[in-house]
Amino acid sequence: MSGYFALDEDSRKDPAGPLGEFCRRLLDEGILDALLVAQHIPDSSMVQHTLVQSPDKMLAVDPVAPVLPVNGGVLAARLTRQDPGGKVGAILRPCEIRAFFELVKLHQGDRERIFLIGMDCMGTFEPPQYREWAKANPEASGRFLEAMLSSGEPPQGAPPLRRCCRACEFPTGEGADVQLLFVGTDGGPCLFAGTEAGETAVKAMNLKNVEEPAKRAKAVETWIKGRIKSRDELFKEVESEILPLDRLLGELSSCITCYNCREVCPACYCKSCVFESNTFEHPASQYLKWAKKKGVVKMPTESLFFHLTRMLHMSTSCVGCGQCTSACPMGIRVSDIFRTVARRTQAVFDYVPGRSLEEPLPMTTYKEDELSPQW
Amino acid sequence: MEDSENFKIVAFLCNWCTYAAADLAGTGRLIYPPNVRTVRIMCSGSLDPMYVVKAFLEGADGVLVGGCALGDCHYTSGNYKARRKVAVLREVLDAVGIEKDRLWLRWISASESGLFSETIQQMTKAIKAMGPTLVQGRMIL
Repeated sequence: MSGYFALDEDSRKDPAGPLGEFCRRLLDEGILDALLVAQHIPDSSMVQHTLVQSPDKMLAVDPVAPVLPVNGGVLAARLTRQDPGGKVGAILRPCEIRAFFELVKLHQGDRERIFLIGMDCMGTFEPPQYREWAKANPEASGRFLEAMLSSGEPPQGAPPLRRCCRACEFPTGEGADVQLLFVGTDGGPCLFAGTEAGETAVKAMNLKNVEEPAKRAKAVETWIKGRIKSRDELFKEVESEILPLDRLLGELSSCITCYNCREVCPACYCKSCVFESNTFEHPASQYLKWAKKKGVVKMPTESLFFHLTRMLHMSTSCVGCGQCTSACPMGIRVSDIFRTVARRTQAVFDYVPGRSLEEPLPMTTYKEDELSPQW
Repeated sequence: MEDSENFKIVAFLCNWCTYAAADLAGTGRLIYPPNVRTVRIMCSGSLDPMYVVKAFLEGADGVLVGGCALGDCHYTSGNYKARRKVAVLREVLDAVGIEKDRLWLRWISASESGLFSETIQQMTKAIKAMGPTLVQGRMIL
């Protein structure tokens, strides 16, 4: 038993076809009661997560569509925080799974209550760009997947991949019960059962056990190597061009403190953020004191402070999903900045967010013998 | 007072040890530079790191976090947690160009008023040598 299984009658040109069939069977055969999966919204080229209970409502399932309007890790947490009252599954991208794992560790969700289907993620576009491109391109997801697999680049005429996706070194569905594999699998996608629950499910579906795809390991290694190269270029660029305080002030100069980056951040789970509290509601005279002290004060006064605080509070859990950049109405490269800083804060504790449920969150634990005795 | 003497160190001191040491330094009439501004907190581990950043953004030249000696925390493990928070702070501050050596973490027990006075003297000297932070003279957003 290799753990690898073939998908039936699949063709790479129409990935949504067999995946649609696979999803339908999960519900039809009672393996799951409900499935969280990305689908085309009726009368739109846009794709959003949907929770499907009825197999005949899987009209336009498209989990490989290169767009991530919402990090589904948050949705998976919402579905598992209490007993959902049925067997729930979710097809999620790697950054969504890793975000979900962080939320589980933050006691916002429960891994035991969900059947996770992961996948090789080729990356995503900015949602508005995806919507326009997919509108003009029927079969957009199939074309995208084909182009990415053959050339490593989106098809001609398509928008560029989001920067965070090009720099993502965790593109496979680690941690899921079942993984959808596209890379290095000759003759169409196949499945990998990563857990006992996953194996039980694919066996119940009578999927054919196959050998480990011969080219898979090597292909994944090359793929990840390319991502790491791009990531390191990103770090270098951000460190030299954005991070020094004078440059950072420039980058953040257009911040309108809308807090969208926090709203969409899967790691920012607090029900009420300190920046929504009255902690920084100052008496009117305080502003004049500041203005007097410095000669001038920018108002509202909290933008740099807000971003630095978010780095302190949650950068150790930043999975680099890039939702903050996509949500920024002012085009600030929030995610690029956060990943670059988060790499450093995570390295202190040798912590990789979402890697394992066994690793405690760095800020919830300590060792007596670690770090420096003092600074 | 000359401008070069007019720098500020904000000290977040735990109620049970370092604050008591600072208090004892006062009653014992120990001398230390007047550049330090003390904020009493219940435990070094209860310090939200954002207040350290806030201090720097408001113009502090140095920040001291003081707690009980490792293993002696009044709440068992608060100072170990404080050390982790300071480790994150050092990275974030350094990443944006506020030197991490401006942030000191020291364990000074309630009876060590001499050590408290010495620490402030050393820190004042070190921070003075570093000059003003990048923050000063800039309009901070």
